[in-house]
Amino acid sequence: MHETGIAVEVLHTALKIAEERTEGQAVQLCKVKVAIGELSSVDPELLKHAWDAVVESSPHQNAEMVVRWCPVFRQCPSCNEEKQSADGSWLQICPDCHGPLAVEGGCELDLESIEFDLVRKTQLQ
Amino acid sequence: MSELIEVRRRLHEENDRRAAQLRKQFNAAGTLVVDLVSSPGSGKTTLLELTVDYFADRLTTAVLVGDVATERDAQRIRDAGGTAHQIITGGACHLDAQLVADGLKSSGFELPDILFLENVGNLVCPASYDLGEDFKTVLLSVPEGDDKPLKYPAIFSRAAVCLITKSDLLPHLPFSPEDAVRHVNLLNPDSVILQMSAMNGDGFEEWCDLLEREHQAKRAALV
Repeated sequence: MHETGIAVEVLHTALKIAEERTEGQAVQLCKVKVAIGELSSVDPELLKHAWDAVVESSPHQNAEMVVRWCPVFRQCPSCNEEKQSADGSWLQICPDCHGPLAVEGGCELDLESIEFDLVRKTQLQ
Repeated sequence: MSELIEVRRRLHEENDRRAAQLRKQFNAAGTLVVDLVSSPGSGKTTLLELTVDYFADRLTTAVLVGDVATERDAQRIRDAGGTAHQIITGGACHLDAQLVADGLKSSGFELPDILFLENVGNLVCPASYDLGEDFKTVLLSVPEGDDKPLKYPAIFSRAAVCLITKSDLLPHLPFSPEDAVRHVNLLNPDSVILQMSAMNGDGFEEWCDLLEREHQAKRAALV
């Protein structure tokens, strides 16, 4: 359910950007590229399924969604090494020395690029 | 020939913009806003029934209740003497800033001292949406198990307050409060964790004191 809402947001945002760029001309989306972070609570496969369902029966039904997966990096300043995801992949405490981890990235939930064709209005019906 | 546009736009940009407007409105009114999140059945509505009753003669409170269907929870809070408005999401699994803005408008109530947003019972999606709140509070009930924070890390990482509810069931279930606290702290070392029971009153005063302190701090920031 969550991914469906995100897919709808991708579509609305992509169409808004295309509209701004083309000054309101009709467009047909070919591709959207999104960045999904490990900590964004979004499953990339589910999002792609949701996208297909959202664009189905629309002028953008052939538009492909490409997902760029963005992992999170956890560095322990005390151990001076990177810590891998484990059971609690969101952990902010080092599993070895129990000091605080420096956590970077992984929160991405961005639309990165869109690709579209200009179409005549009759083609969209 | 297709046209390619490189953009870098947050997908929650629209929600975040609406949430910022709400926050501005809440700050101007000195309203403390608490977003309550939990699995279905962890005790959000029961906690709110007791909380609105506790504050009845000292502070004004109101509740916006999010549910997929029915008015039942808002009615329960009204029956407890509270002010409540139901937001029926019609299938959506979380509240977003627009639903809160619309709910506030249609409720017709004045902004109170403390506004509670009772989110839809779900530990996943509500973690990702800013509603203009001061802080999120997550409830973890004893029957759910002490390892739940590790299984739903997003909300336990982002909630400033964690309430371990139904503590009266501790003698009957293999739930370790120490492990629960350890798991929450692994994700969120700054989390305020309270153990509570609506049945025997355990932890309730600490919860109300916390709300009162936060409300006073918010009021003080107005001056």
